[in-house]
Order: sequence, then C-alpha cells, then structure tokens
Amino acid sequence: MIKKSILFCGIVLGLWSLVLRVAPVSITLHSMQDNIAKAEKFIFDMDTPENLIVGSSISTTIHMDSLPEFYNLSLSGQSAFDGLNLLREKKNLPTNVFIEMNVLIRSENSVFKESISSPVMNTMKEHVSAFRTDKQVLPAIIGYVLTPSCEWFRSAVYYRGRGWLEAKFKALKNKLSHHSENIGPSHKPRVLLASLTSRATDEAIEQDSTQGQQDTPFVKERHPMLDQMLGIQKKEYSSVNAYVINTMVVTLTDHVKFLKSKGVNVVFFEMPVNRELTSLERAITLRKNIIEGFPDCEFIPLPKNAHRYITRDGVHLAPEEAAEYSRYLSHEVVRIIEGGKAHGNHQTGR
Amino acid sequence: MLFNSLIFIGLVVATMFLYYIPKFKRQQILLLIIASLLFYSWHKPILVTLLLASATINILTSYWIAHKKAGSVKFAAWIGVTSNLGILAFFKYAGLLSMTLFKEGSIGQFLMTIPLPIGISFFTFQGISLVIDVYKEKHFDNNAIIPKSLFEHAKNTLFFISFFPQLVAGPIVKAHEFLPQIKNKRFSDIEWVRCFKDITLGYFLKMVVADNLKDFTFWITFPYFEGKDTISLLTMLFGFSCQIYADFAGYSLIAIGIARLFGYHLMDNFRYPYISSSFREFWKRWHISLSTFLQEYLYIPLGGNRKGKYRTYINLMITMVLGGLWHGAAWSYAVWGTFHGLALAVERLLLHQFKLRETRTIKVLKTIIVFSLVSLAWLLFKLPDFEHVIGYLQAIGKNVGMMADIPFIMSIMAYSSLVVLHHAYYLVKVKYQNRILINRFEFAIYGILLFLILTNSGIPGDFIYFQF
Repeated sequence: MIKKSILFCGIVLGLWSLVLRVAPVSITLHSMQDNIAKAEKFIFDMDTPENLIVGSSISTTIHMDSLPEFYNLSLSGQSAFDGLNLLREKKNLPTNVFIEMNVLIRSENSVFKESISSPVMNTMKEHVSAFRTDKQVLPAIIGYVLTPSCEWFRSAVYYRGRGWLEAKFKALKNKLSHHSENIGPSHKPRVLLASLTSRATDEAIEQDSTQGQQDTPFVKERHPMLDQMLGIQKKEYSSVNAYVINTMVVTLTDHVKFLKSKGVNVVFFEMPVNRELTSLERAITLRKNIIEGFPDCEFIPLPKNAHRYITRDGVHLAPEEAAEYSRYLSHEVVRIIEGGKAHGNHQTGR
Repeated sequence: MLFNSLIFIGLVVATMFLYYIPKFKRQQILLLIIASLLFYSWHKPILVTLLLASATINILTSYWIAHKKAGSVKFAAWIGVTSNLGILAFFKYAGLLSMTLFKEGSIGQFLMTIPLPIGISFFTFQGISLVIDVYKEKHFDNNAIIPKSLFEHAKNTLFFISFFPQLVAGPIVKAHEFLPQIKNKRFSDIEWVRCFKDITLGYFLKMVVADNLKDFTFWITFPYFEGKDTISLLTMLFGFSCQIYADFAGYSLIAIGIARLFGYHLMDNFRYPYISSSFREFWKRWHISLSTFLQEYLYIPLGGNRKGKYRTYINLMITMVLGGLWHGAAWSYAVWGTFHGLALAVERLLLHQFKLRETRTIKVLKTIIVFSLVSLAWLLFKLPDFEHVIGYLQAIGKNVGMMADIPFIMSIMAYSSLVVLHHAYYLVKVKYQNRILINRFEFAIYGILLFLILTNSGIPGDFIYFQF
C-alpha cells in the first residue's frame, strides 16, 4: 500500500504539473502566502530590477504605475529587513534600493525566512512549479471555482431572487394599500443598501477629491475601524525601546554596508501615517536614527502636506492618499535619480 | 524542535537507524533517552534540568513505594504527587496567581517572569500516574514491572517520562500502559502500513489543514474581528473548531505513528470527536488521554457517580474546571472548563428527566447542537480576555449588514471541509464496514494526502497544544 500511495502521489503531482504548464495558475489567499509567492518570484523568476522598494505593508499601497522601472518587494505584516535578506539571495543587485523606514523596529520574520531559505525546498521550487506557493491546488480551486460560483450565486440568484421577492412584496403592499392604510415598514435589503451606500460614498470621495484645500484631509469618509486602530497605534508609537532601536541600527548598518560595497545606492523613505502619529516618540526616534546613522544615504522625507493624511487604520493609506503619495514619491525619485544629491541632502521633513 | 521540521525528521531517521542495529540491541532505551533529551533541549537546553529533576523525584518515590516496607509507602506517594503538582503549580500557575493576588510589588513581578517549560503539563501528569499506579498496584505487579536495580528503574522511568514523540504535547501516557511495553524491539515487528497511515494523516491534518486555517482564523483576535461581517465571524468560529482539531489530532497521530516505529503503542487520542451527539460522548472522543487521566486519577477518587446525584454533579464540575485550568494559566480556561462541566451536568440531568427516542433526525440535531456549543467554547482558547469574547459575540449580531467577504469565507470552508470529509469517511467506513470499494482504493486517498502535504502545506506554525 505504501508503494502504491507514493506512486499515486507521483502521478497526481505529474498531472498537476501538466495543468500548470497549460493554465497560468497564480493565486494566493492571504498576505503571508502573498509575501512568500512574491519572494519566490523575485528569487527564481526575475531579472534583477533597476530600482527596488523594500518595506512593510505600508509601502504595498504605493501605486507602481507611477514608478515604472521599479519592483515593489514590500511585504505585508513584515518589515524591510525581510526584503533586504532576500536581496542577498540574488546574484545581481539593483542600482537603487529604497528602504521604507516606518516599521524598521520590526525585526525579520523567522517563519518567512525559513520558508524561503530551505535549500531542499528551494531547489524543488525552482525546478518544479507545482511546489511554488502561488501554484497550490486548493487555493486554485477556491479562487477559480468556489469563489466565482459563490459570487455568481450572490449576484445572479440571491440579489435577483431578492429583487424579485421585493418587487412581489411591493406589488402586494400596493395592492393592500388600496384596502387598508395600515401598512408596516417596508423591508429594505440591508446588505445591498450597505453596498450601495459604500459605492455612493466612494463616488462622493472621488468627486470631492479636492486640490488646493490646504488643511483638509484627502479622505472625507473615516474608516469605521480608524479610531480603534489609531488608539492602538498611538500606544505603540508613544514609547520606544532603546535596545530594539540599537539592534535595528546594527542590523541595518550591516545591510547598508553590504549594499554599498556592491555599489548600490541606498535611499530611505518615510511613508506618511496618520497625522497624530508622525510626531510621536517612535516616529521621531526612528527618523533621527536613520538620518544620523546613515549620512551617506539619501532620505526622502514626509511630504509637506503630511498632515492631510488620515489613513484607513492609522498607518495604511486610503486609495486617494496612496495616489497622492505615489505622485510625490515618483517626483522625489526622479529628483534623486536624475538630480543626484544636488538638492537638500538629508531633509528631515519636520 | 517541531515535528514538521527537517531536523526532526533527521533525528527520527538517525535514531531509528541506530536503534535497530543489532550492535545497539541492549542500548535501545538509552538511545531513545538520548534522542529524547536532545529533542527536548534543542531550543532551550536549560529546560532539560527541570525534566531531569521531575524524573528524579518520580524515580525515587516510585522506587521507594515499590520496594520499601508498607509504613512509609503512603508518605512517599504523598511526596511524589505533591512534588509533581508543586512543580506544575510553580511553573505554570505562578503568573496567574501573581496577577490575581499580588497585582503590584516585587513578588508579583518575579512570579510573572518565570518561563513556562514546554510540555510540563504532560510530563508531570505522567509522573503522577507512575507514583499512583505503583502505589495502588491495581494494574500491575510492582515486582514484575519495577526492577530491583535502581539504575534500571531510573532508566525505564526516564524513558517513560521523556519518550520524545509524546513528550511535549501528549498523548498523556499512563504508567500502567507504557511500562509493561518496555523491552527489546525488532525491526521486523514494525507495522509499516499502520505507521504510514498515522504519520501521513497526522502531517496532512497539521500541515495542510491547521497551518492553512490558522492564517484565516488569525482574524478572530481583538480588535480585528470587529471589522468582519457576521457570516465571516461565524465561519471563523467553525474554522477554528476544525483548526484546533486538525492541529492537535494531527500532532497526536504523528506521535502515535513515530512511537510505533520504535515499537511502542500509545493510546488513540482522538476518535472523530465532532460526530458526538452528547458532551459525554465528546469527552470520550476528544483528547482521550487527558479525559481518561482525569477520570482515573481525579473523578473516580473524588467518588465519581457513586455518592449520589448532587455529589456526581459537583465531582463533574471539579474535574472539568481543573481540566480547563490544566490547559493554561488563565481564568478563561477555568471558564471553558466550567462551561463543559455545566454542559455535562445539565446533559446528565436532562437525560434522567426526559427520555428521547434516538431517531436519526434527533441524533443529527443533537450533534449539531453539541458541535455548535463546543465551537463557541473554543472562542475562550483564542480570546483569553473575557471582554473580547463578549465583543466577538456582539459583533456577530452587530455586523449583520456588512457585505460578506466571499473569498475569505470560501477559503475557510474549503480547508474546514477536509475535517468534515475526514469525519464523514469514518462514518461511511463504520456503516459499510468492508463492503465499500473505497477500501480497495485507500492507497489513492493516501497518495492524494501525500501530494497535498508536498504541495499545499500552509506556513508552518507552532502546535496549539505546545502552549499547554
């Protein structure tokens, strides 16, 4: 039985590999899977990009269409250190590496590191795509079969059915209203209503996306979780552990030295977060340590209108804010790449 | 050292190789002790001193009881049991006590800093089982099982307490089940197919089901659940129920399979618990090694159901509250135990009052109710702060209007359905015995499980029961 099972496993593996050759399956279901898939793609498939961004989920919001020659290796729930570790796996290095500094106090993720640095698994992943994280069979079934069927059911059957029922109900109600004035409250589909409201709000935001209003936030509608999440972030931003900062500086120095020794230009940048966080202790200490600790590196400060950023949860930019910041970042990148260090080295942004 | 790490697989293969070499035939136990200590001390070598200290107490007290005169035997048993409980209380519950009694001050702060040695709840219980089994002499004759030589007894006891497949998360092995098995083992006696099935299914449950589900059930934590819609919140509860089963049953199966490779039979720890139609049945199917331990060494000594109706309810409650606290040093675990104790007591009361006909519909209905309540109680494992549990339940009612996150829900349902299939497969097998075609094609099922382990494993995570 054992031999037969192993043989059967081999046959299924072969069949799945065949499917992958024919159909371009690439799917991840959550952020960690997404991070690993991104890392695998970066290590095994890609030529080294000219410019590379490493950072946390905060930088994943950057619109890459405004930075065409860039590859964004920002990893949700992790920090720039994981991206920097990945760079050591590459034979060729990029010309410019942009390091997001917001979450540098978060050290490298050991689980992630183990997942992408196992020599046995990496050899298998490099040569057999069925072992890749974004080529798994169950996520493919979930993503390509189950979810679309369910979405179809929701839109085609559930909403249509509900609409039909509502129309019938309305007709009946109208009919009854001829006979009696005593009619109960109309039944409103709460889910549909919520979706329409959110769509209307989105449209309102788009129309309202103002330019020239100096102090108003980019986003009018506050995310429902914002206050709660901001409270948590404020607590975290209010204190800083000297040991953690020192360890961060030591590790970062090692990475920067390595990159500099290979002729890579290192640029730090600070992503805007909620305006109530930018002047708290953690943000100030990090900024100070980066500017003073790495004088040979470029630093892209916060934009001048940083006080207009509200964010979704205190740290992650809302779509409008991401678009605004991406414009600013691309402008700064052009300044750095094309203009060298001519304009104001080491601005603090404060 | 995690069961799903390459280093662990290396340890098992190397130990097995040496274990069955005829040259080391006489050193089989010694080899397993060395491998076990290596396994235990892999991340924190200092912890091995506690394991050795605990083993020493059990070696001396059990030897004393087995070979000394009757007068001092009771005292030795008392020393043995209280020492084990003392170690457990100090290392596991000092933090909880300090939080409750001395909120401020140096004693509280000191007690809070004591680290929790991994597997302490398991090996201290095994120590208690040894002392009591030797004291009561109900299951075996001490002269036949406890060697006259202190060295031999020490070797056997240390092996019994530290045997690496079950050292850190069970199954809790009782002395009377394990000690009689200690003897030389032969390679030809290995039941390969059984080992293969247990280990493959165990790794599948852990690596494919539990490790994938954990990245979705993560959102049960505070405050993230507040942003989820009602259907997602309910699906997460269902998913966590399946995850905790897959994680722990997976670990137990791997442990049982590996122990079998060395010729030792550990008791089944899970028997498809989610098909239970009563709480009583649930506890006969869930973490069987703990429930039978509590039954044998706590519930029955307390009087069990022999001292009247009310005393039975009290005994049930005491057993379940302590069983709850065994899981962790937080009051939420006591609440979890109380919940199960109450459920058992109420169920017992209702069964005496009303005699329901066991039709299939009623059985299915009861199974759904038991599963739902058990799943609800798991929330206390994920959210140790009781306020957050209330918040979660309120969010289920409050977030009805939110748009359901279909990809998220589908992901949980898909991975959870593997646990459902696992239970359904058992039911089909029981119903049709050997008449079904599926038996002939069982190899294909295990082949698919192997394929999924290789290609569809989640991001490796710690076993949930390691924290206990």
